[in-house]
Amino acid sequence: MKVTYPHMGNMAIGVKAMLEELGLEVVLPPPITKKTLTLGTKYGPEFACLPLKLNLGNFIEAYELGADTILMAGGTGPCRFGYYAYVEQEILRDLGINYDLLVLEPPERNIMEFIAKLKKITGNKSIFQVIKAIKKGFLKIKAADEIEKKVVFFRAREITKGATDRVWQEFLQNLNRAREEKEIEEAVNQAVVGLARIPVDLTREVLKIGVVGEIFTLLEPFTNFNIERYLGSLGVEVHRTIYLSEWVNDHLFLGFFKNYSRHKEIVKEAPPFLCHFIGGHGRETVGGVRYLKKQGFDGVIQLLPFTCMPEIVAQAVLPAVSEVAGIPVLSLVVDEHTGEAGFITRLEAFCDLLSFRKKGGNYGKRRIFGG
Amino acid sequence: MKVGIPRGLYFYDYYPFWETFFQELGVEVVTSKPTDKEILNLGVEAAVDDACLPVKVFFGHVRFLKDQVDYLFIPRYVSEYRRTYICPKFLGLPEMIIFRLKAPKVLSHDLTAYQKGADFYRGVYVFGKKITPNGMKVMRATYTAWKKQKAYLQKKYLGYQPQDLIDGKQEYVPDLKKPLFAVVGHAYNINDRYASMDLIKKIRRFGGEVLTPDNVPFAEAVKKAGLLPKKPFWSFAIKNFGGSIYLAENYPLKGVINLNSFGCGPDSIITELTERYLKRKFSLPFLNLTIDEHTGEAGLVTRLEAFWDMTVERSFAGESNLPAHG
Ligand code: SF4
Ligand code: SF4
Repeated sequence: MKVTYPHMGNMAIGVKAMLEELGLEVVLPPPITKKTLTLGTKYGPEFACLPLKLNLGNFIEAYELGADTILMAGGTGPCRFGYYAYVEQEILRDLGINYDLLVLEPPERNIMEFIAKLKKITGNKSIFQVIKAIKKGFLKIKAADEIEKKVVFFRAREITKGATDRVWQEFLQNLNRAREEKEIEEAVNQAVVGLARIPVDLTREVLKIGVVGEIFTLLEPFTNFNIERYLGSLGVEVHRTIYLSEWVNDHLFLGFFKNYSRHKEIVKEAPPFLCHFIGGHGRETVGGVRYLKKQGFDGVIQLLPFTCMPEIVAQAVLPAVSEVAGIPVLSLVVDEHTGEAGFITRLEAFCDLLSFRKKGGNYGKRRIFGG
Repeated sequence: MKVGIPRGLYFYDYYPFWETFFQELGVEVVTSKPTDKEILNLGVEAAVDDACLPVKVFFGHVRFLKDQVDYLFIPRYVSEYRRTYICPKFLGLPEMIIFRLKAPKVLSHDLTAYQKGADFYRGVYVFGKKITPNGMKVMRATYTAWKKQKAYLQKKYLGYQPQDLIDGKQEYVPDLKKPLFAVVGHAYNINDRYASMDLIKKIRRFGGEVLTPDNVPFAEAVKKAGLLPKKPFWSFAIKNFGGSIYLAENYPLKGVINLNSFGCGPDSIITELTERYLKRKFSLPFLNLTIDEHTGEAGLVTRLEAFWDMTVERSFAGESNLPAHG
């Protein structure tokens, strides 16, 4: 059995660690490129959301490398993600690509169910080994998030362009290689030291932008033209409302680590603009705007794939939220037709607006929204 | 008190119920006019660009109606059947209306059968109590409305389409002996004569008759949906997928016409599966129509004619190699 799974930001590092600890052979899809997207667009349904198309591309490419089993998370709706794995399998089958499917449907009750499911997949491993594997995977994801949150600070203030990203890339490699918990810690420490050595300009006027929206477009740099790095280069500090480790803790571990994620705090801010869960990260998006305002951010960007249902609902109410909270919001829709140039132009215009506002300028009551 | 019910989304699914319910409570009910150019434009203007067509249409109806009534009735349909949802857009519908269209006078209540079916009616009861404190009266109104709704469902199982029963003169009697087509899609698209460019009427005018997922009892659709590797968690996906399999098995269909709305999320998944399964199992001819606010009528007619020729005229001439029935 050669297991593969779709890419989403730094997720691969964690999942790989977990599966290998369980003694499974992992065949990672090559990193997402234009080719991945082209394959996905060609064979996926036209109105499928971008993540589905990229998954599909991943699987086709991984198949060429010898993968034969797909591992994915499931879901109980109402958003499409919970049905991804099955449609993808059908589409692949009709292309003559036969995969076995392992879907981790979200545990209904607690973390033990998740462990039991993994145990079933791996056959003869003991509970102890399974827990150890999950822990290792989680620690890696957590470490990556921790460093990433620091990276954005340095990126926006570094004096030599690219210095921060060198440390970041090196850290990711070390993290990927780490076998023991101790090595993960070492990688983290090394990165922290590396970052601290970067010469920074602390007097620089730095904008703080929060990014909210659909998880995949938030976490996968390919879909958002590496928005965090790009904004960083403009001297903007970027934070997200979603980090993978928080998501894993909330959804796969069902909040096992208490107080680890900010999910509750963020969602609390959603009413009256959204009083019910709507699937995906719709509530986080709506609540995120006021949450970020309270944290002192200057502006908010919503990222969403074309046809993403929860985010369209959120997008519909965001103008009202923005007005009440007094913070500009820009919605950026991405799909296979999105051009980098236009995307960047809109980002730049938004940053201009924010720095103008920050300097006390007044655009009248004007706000800008994207559609 | 005057309550407005916009003629969009689940209007065609529940109108008989709500009309009766409100009337029993002594509330005057007003609906918007059937969709037309004005309504569509009102909607397109106000909605998020990338929203699906039916949501835009719904926005249009709301804008048309909102100043003529005391309240708009926009319940939050969370779930119609156990362990299913409808669509994320239904879940956020009241807020979209209140905050996007600045229409604060909205009567709403969460209606959900997710845990158990009876909860749906418990929700109706609680909602009714907002209108009148008289619990008995609400109970009676719910019961009468439920009976109306049941009669409506029975008629649908006989082959009537919601638009036959609700809009217009209501004297059409379906004739299932004519060449039959399954039109698969959301009731709010199929029955919206403007948005669907009168698809049903057109097929009937050709001399055919139409069956839709609305004509299939939900329990049957659920059984057929069992063919899928995982039970869909959207009730309309069960209706559309299971319904089309049921229709294909039980009626001598000439073909299947899929009516999708531009930008519909769930359709992209479920149509994909429906088409693949129907082709594998029945090798039925399949026509995919996607409608949006720019769709031209001429193109649709041409495609429909071609489909008609291919499925009916040719098989009359006896040269078809497409089995009409599984
Ligand atoms: S959240 Fe949006 S993009 Fe993600 S699966 Fe759901 S509909 Fe698709
Ligand atoms: S099911 Fe499709 S058409 Fe209906 S509201 Fe949702 S996205 Fe729109």
